[in-house]
Amino acid sequence: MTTDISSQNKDRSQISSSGKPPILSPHLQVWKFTVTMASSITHRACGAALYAGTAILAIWLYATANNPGLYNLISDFLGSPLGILLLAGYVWALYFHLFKGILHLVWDSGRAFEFEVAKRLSFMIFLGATLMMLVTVLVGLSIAGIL
Amino acid sequence: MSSKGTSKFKAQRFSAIVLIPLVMWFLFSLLSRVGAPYLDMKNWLAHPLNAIPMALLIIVGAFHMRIGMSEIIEDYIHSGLRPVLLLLNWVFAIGVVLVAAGSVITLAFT
Ligand code: HEM
Repeated sequence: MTTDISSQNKDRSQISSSGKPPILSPHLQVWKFTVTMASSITHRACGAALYAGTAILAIWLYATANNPGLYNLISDFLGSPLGILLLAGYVWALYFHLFKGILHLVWDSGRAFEFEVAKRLSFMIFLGATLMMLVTVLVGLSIAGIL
Repeated sequence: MSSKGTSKFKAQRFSAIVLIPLVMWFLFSLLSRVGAPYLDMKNWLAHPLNAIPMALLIIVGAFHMRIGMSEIIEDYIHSGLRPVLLLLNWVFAIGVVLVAAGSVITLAFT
């Protein structure tokens, strides 16, 4: 198997007129997973999740203003294990999108573009969103008397 | 004289800045009240200090998310479905604002 690769490389250098392997266009095989890439797609996914969350929030507002029955139904669901999981996910998405959104605004001002800085900040945003989500959910649960 | 693209960009950045304090307020004040008894929640939300940021959060949030989702649609959808989705995106955002604004107004006057 390893000989395959080295013979391929030899083939390339033979093709190239300068004697160096020709420059190949980026391909999936040379893509490396990076934390900045992950945080970029996560920001978009969180934006989409918050889109749905805002609609649910509007329905919840309607229930609070006009419909005690619906309000209680939503409250009961949010107190169930599935509801708590959903809320925790929503809170995580909010924190992540908020932190990453602020980083976008910093980038717009032309700062923090250096790869190492961007990498470290992206990592900290994942960590920060997770920690803040845990704090928020634990405080919320203890106020609600569930914990 | 900015193009449609850059004014969209500015509108989204501006709404993002406005959303920062609103989202922080939302996370710290409302989520800790999830599951409160109906009347407690209703009274809390009827107070202008809570009703106003709540209404602003949803209105500015709908504005911001409508732009963001249109960008997502333009990035991924290249078929005849695109104008349909862009229209639905508008309808959805306006619907969210109407429901939220209507609820807050109801709360303020009852
Ligand atoms: C109600 C809360 C929010 C909702 C529903 C929401 C929704 C969205 C959506 C759907 C997108 C499009 C995603 C994309 O194009 O990648 C987006 C993008 C964005 N959001 Fe939010 N967002 C919210 C709060 C915030 C906050 C608090 C900030 C704080 C700075 C923010 C900053 C941004 C930025 C900078 C972008 C553009 C990202 C890019 O150009 O790639 N958002 N948002």
